[in-house]
Amino acid sequence: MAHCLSCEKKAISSHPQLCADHFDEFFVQKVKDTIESYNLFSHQDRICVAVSGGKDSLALLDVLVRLKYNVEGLFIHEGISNYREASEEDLDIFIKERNIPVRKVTFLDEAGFTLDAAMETKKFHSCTLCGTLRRYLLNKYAQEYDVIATGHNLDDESQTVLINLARGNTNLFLRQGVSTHANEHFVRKVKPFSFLTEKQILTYIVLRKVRVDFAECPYARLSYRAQVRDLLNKYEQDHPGTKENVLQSYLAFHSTVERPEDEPEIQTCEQCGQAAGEKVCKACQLIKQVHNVMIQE
Amino acid sequence: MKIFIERTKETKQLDFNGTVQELLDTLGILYEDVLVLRDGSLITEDEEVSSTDSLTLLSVISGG
Ligand SMILES: [Zn+2]
Ligand SMILES: [Zn+2]
Repeated sequence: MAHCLSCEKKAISSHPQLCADHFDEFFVQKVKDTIESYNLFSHQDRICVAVSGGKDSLALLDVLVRLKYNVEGLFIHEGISNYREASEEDLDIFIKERNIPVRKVTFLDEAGFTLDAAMETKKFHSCTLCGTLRRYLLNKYAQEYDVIATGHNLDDESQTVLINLARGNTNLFLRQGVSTHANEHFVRKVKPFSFLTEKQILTYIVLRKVRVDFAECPYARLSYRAQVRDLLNKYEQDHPGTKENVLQSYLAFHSTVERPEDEPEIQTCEQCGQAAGEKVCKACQLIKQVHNVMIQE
Repeated sequence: MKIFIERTKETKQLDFNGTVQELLDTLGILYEDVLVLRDGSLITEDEEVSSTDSLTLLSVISGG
């Protein structure tokens, strides 16, 4: 039986090898360090947390409330049956206990269809559609905040580095980071969990006795990301520290590279009025395509 | 040994004595992918488990 490296109690985690109390201390400190060393936000800022009802966003809300930040939630319901319903109940209990204001928006109300309905047409890629609409709704409803905080963790970030590298997405590659650059069109986005693994976040959730739904997104298995995740987890088990090394190598490299000058000119979407790369934004284009396909059927 | 796998909601009965790591190897599960609880408490991979134990495996993988 392994002992905590900071005291005599039994370890409940191996990476780092700590007891329940010291793990909690480590976890909160890691978030605090990330916020402070990357200047993510201050106690004066109004922070919007993008909430999915899953463990990452609930853990983030929980830590930020404990650190006394001025935080509110935006819950985006994409409409996947048997996946979000359970999470939504857990979420209601969670926010009541902590008195956090949370606004709820749905794909159905905003775009006119659920993700399930759009996927039934078999014409759209689930993660592209879901991701585009989420970003669109987040930007739309987070305008009034100083910063948007998301629950992206070390697993997500190290996977993204490898995916962009393997696919040659150099433009996306250079944009990844712990914080996006501030700009007049979009609220800055930050990732306070960048240096914590999914496993550490789940450990925190269990120790804090937060109820979450453990269902996996039914569309996630289809993705390239799932393959990269399995590969990275195998490496991490055989060589602990791999995920952090991938992200840290990227960040070290990133800080030395100048940002590309040829960023597309920002226009205003003719249909929704949000910032867009073209006359009509990606989200409005996609929503129209989904409606067209659904009418034909 | 009774093992409840949260992700698939299935319960397995297994005759096993050894460490958590050996158990997961037998089941073909990466330690990096799960948390292991015995009677509701987290245990690490070097912990000895036996046939009379009741374990829960929580999947680390889920939607954000
Ligand atoms: Zn300790
Ligand atoms: Zn638009």
